[in-house]
Amino acid sequence: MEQQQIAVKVLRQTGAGYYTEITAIEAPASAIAGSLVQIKVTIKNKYSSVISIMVAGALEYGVSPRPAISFPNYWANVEAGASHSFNGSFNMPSHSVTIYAFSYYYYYYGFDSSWHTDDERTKNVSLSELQTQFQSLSASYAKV
Amino acid sequence: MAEVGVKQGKTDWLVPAALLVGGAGVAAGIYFYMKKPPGVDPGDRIKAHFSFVFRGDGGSYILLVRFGYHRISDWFDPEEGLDRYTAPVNLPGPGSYEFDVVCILPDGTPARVYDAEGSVLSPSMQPGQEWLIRVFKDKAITVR
Repeated sequence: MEQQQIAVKVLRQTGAGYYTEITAIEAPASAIAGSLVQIKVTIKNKYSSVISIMVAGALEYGVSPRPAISFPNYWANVEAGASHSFNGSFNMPSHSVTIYAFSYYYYYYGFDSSWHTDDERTKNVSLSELQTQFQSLSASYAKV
Repeated sequence: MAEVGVKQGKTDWLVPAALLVGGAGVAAGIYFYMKKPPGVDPGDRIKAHFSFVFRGDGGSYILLVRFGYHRISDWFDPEEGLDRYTAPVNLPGPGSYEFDVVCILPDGTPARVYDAEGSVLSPSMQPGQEWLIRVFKDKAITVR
């Protein structure tokens, strides 16, 4: 619930990516309505030392409030220059969606400590019938 | 009264037994020294055999193979250097299709067990970040 509030809140802002950078959102290009869509958001620590980074995400497809993307492990301590991937998922609605991913860094000074939004990246997942054109995919592996 | 015959002395088995045991030990040592564990070596070729049913009208697609680690809930983390085996294919129409993608393991591939991900992409998709359909094979290859 806390993630959802954060995601909806920062949709009105534009992340600058000062300390963090969302380098990739991995997701299928299309998905069947009702299917569980797995995504991976990779965030890089641009700061000169280790910082705590948090991810949040929401779906944009014309409904309000925007549904949140579930990230079971939504924060991590990331070394300077390193990247961390956060796995998330959502159920595909009966519309094409835009994934909004946000990165946060943890800031504390004196008694002030909180998560601050930093970067933002989007990716589209279309509701396509193309996926249903492929069925029964299998792959086996052997030495030539 | 004297009798003439053969002296029935005890046979000394110690020396033959020692030679036998020693020989067996040497043979076993050579066998285990020469015998490689099952698996493949860097530089070997791996054939990924794809099989699927296509119900579309036809088109060009990309087959992608990646080796790495299949996490729970279908998340996949590829091993660097083993994540870009692709083959373009043309599907003229509906039907069952089979293709082979030959993957050459680069020198220096760490020795361990790898899971595999086989996926089908449209040409406009980013390999590893988008897919139309994919399938996993746990413990697909063992690099020794």
